[in-house]
Amino acid sequence: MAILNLSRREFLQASGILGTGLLLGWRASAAGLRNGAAVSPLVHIGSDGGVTLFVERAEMGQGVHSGLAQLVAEELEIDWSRVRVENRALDGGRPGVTTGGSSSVRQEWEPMQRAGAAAREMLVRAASLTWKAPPEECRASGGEVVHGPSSRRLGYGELAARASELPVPQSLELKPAHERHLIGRSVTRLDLPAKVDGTARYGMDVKVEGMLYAVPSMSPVFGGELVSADTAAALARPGVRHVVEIPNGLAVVADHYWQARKGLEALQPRFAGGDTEFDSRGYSLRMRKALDTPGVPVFEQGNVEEAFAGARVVEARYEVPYLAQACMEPMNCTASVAKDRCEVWAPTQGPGRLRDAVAEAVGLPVQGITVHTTLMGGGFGRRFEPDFAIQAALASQAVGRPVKLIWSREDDTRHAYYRPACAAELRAALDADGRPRGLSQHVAGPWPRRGLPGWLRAWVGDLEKELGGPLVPDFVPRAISSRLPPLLTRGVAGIVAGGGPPTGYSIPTQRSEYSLADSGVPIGWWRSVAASQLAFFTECFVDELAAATGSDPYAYRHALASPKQRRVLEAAAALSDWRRPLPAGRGRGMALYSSFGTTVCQVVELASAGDSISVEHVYCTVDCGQVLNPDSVEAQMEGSILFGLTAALRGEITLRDGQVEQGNFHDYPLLGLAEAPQITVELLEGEGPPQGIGEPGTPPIAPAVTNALYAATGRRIRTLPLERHLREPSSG
Amino acid sequence: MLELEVNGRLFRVEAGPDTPLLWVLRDHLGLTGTKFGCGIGVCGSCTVHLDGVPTRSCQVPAGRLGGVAIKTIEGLSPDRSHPVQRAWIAEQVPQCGYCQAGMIMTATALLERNPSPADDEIDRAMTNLCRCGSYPRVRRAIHVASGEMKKPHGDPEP
Ligand code: FES
Ligand code: FES
Repeated sequence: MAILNLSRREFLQASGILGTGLLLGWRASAAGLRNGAAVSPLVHIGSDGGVTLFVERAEMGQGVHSGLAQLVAEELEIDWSRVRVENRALDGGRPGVTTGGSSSVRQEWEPMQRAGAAAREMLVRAASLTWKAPPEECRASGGEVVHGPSSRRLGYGELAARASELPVPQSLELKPAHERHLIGRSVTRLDLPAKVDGTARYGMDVKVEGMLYAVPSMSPVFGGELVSADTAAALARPGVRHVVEIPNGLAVVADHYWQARKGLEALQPRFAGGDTEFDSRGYSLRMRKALDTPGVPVFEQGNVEEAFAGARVVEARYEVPYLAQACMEPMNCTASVAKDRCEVWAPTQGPGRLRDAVAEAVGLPVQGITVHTTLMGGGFGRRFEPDFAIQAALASQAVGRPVKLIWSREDDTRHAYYRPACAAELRAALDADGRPRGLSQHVAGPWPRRGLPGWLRAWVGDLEKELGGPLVPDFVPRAISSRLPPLLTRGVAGIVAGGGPPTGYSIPTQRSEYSLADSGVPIGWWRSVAASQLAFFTECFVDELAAATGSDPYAYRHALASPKQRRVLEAAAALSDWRRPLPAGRGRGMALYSSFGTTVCQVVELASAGDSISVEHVYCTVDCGQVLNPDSVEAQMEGSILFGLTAALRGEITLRDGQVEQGNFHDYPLLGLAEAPQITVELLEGEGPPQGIGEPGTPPIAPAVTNALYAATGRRIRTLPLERHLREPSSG
Repeated sequence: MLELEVNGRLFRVEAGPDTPLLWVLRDHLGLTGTKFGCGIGVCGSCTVHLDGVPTRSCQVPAGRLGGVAIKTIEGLSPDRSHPVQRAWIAEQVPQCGYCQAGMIMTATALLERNPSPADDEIDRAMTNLCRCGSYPRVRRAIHVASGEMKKPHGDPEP
């Protein structure tokens, strides 16, 4: 991407910058240009020497704002504490940037460093012109340019104006790794001071002049419709000003939040329709039944049939439940809709889609909509969906004033886009020495069509029209999948069955199949997406193969692993002292899994007595390529492990009569501090480009803890969550 | 009309007496550092001190707080200099940060009561929930803050 000098007044003003200085940016993509957008600001150096970085990635706890600043600052040679990061509003119809898939640092690694290098070169050049000295004698360091021979110095602030008149250098060289002083170091995060003194502003904290508060009432059954409500009773409550329609429900709007909530209590809404029969237990049976007949092939490598002929076959079935993301900050959005434009403040991972959805809902062109991405109290994939923003925008439009709409925790738990429940059958054909020569995975689960986010559903709808028939039940036959937009194929296969080989091990033949078990429960992205269930299936199964052949789980994996995996595996065995004997009632289990470019191995040590499980220590080794901020990677591993452990032990969304049974943290409990195991993380010296860190720590924890439970108790649980199925003797 | 003493200042607020303190702080006084997470007293994101006792403000009607000294995260220190805040930065505790005001208010109350808490005492006191999994660092930071608070001149290294 070409870096541009945007130091002209109109750009500075459009970027909300007071005063002058050097502003670099880049040109939006061709699609953005078509939509009327031109350029995006990126880094500004003010005449006071302050550096502002404009980012579009959202900060939801993963430390991305600091990470991007670190990349720019590395090349810019600037004092770390002088960098400020601002989320740039999405306006003028530009394409939006999503935050997810552990992609931010991976994609911005080079562009951000190049922007820093360009600014530095321009500042050096400005100094050399000022001093009439050759540029080679001038060097940037710590926010100043120093003239070597004379030791003269000029701060960036003093140079910014002059630099802003220079062209952007054509060729830029990035520092070699050994000269870096920020990349690879655990610098303190820029966003944390505001998070310890109450000044950090999340979506929930947005305040707009004249704003009212709204709370929604949504059909408890997915797809249900409002039949009646006592609007008059709600309006009679103090402070309640309006009751307005939103998709599949109503919103109560009042002067203050608590008044709106009280109004909602009086509303007595009645809903009807939707799939009122849906029941998790019944769905579990349907998924398992779907495994009885062959599925649609998703992936095949080698001749699996042949591998199974005459071989010793081991097979097992597994199942995982629906899960909600349960971000600590419930869904919320503030919107201000006027006649020809609309401003939205949203904690969102997908501002572009959110903007498009809001535009459609309120009937305005996308150019008229501005989305401010706020800080987020967690995202975990849930905030890709724009449903809550549509509600806020419609409420604001209906009442003609800005509205902040806030979900209750119960709304958040019962109206998520869930990690799909699915079941899987794994089969392996073992050769004489116990190694698998063929492996097949058959996943049964929902086809996300009905649960798809609107924009994806529209694509599927168009495609079905074109094909003159439903894509279901044939999943995505090859003939069709070649015609699907790649994102859709990835979305569909990726969300439920995964698109590639079931395991990353060197097994000569592997196959993956999918069977539909239809369900109207909305499904979506949940930290690590399909890897969260696929790692559980395959890494438990590999453990079973080790047991079936009397092998040590570590040695068994080691024999099948690639060199890259082996390195991570060996490090985990060493870190956890794998062969150290444990007393009775305690067990150790491991899992190895690669996702988002990163390979993670985890070893769990736990104690189990009766139906209790106490996870004591998790050892975690990671190869995520080059590391930007080691402490941030460790924090992400700790967080991913605890996120996945909560799910493995007790996470479960169940439905009855079409309604989600859980509502709040008492019945959808999170792991607490007292239960949190000790976590030891080791980052392996990585080569190659940086890889994902926000998600890859989650997939291995469920199988590692399940395998450890087997080691401790001899009980092989094959259905999550573990705590419930350990109590139910019939399970497993 | 309610009268509340928050962070050493007296406020008069036009809100129904049954309005939970959490929403009076957030909506009426603009003290949005105190967070809403569950509304049922389980998550602890809304923790404030009432006369020094860590309390879940979503469960306390504001009308019952006449004469009670309320302290929120905004009132902990004017410049993030409280040893717990400093320890939170030193250990890089927050991720999304949404639960952290509650965590910090619970931790400061714990350390006031018990300047050198053992791990099991931390376990019992710190029942706040964190979805981002900051627990290992919360524990570490409490030990660090405890060490700082015991230093003779209360003047920890930056
Ligand atoms: S919001 Fe008060 S305890 Fe959760
Ligand atoms: S830091 Fe995100 S919930 Fe605790």
